[in-house]
Amino acid sequence: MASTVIGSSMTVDGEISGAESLVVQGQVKGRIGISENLYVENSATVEADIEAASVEVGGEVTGNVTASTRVEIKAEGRMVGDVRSPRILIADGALFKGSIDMDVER
Amino acid sequence: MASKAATVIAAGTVVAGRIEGAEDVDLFGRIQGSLTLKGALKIDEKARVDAEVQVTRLEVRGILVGNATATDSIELFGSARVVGDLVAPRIVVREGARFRGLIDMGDPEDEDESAPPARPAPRRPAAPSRPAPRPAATTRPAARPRPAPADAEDDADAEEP
Repeated sequence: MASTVIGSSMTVDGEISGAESLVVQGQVKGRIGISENLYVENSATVEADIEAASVEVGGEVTGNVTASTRVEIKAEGRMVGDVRSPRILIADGALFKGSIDMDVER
Repeated sequence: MASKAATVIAAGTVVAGRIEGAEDVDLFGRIQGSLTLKGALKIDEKARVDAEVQVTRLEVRGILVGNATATDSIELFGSARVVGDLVAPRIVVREGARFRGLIDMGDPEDEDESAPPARPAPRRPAAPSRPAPRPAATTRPAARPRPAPADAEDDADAEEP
């Protein structure tokens, strides 16, 4: 039910893992591995390798991302890293640098 | 007990590493490492913390393994299980709480006359007649000991009506 929220004043340096969706408004450095959806909001900065069911980037992400369903980089989103996901959306205005691999069977 | 926590760590989530911030945190999952917070940390009944904790206010209903410092207060509720040293000007141990470690509410000597009467009175409806500084006072003659673990448990007992 409840999802995890890392608030805008928070800094996490380490690893976040879990079975709930995760909303990041603050800063996360390290690794994120969750079996649900990850939302990186406008105010957020994430420097981490990410594994999640889906990833929505509205803030800043640096790191490699593996998603089992989809990755969406929204118009305000900025992302540097390699993405592996069967579906990838990049909105008009988004910043992205890295490689994309949609050929993921898993 | 209104909670305006901006940060919530859900039941199945583990956050390991160094965590810092300036807001309240409601913990239903797990934290490992260290947590430094300008705000209140609430450890839910099913939550677990294995970390050094530095916060403004701490409420424990779950498990805490590690030392905790609060600038305001620490409260161990009946369901709390805590192993570690607690440092705060105000510490409440409720009936049923299990605790092993030291409790340090500051030096009574430093503020001899003024502080002791002032401190226990507010926010302590359960045991106004037995302020927590007492156990520390009984051990006072023996030089300047930090309260031993045994004192901490006396403290818990003292809360029983």
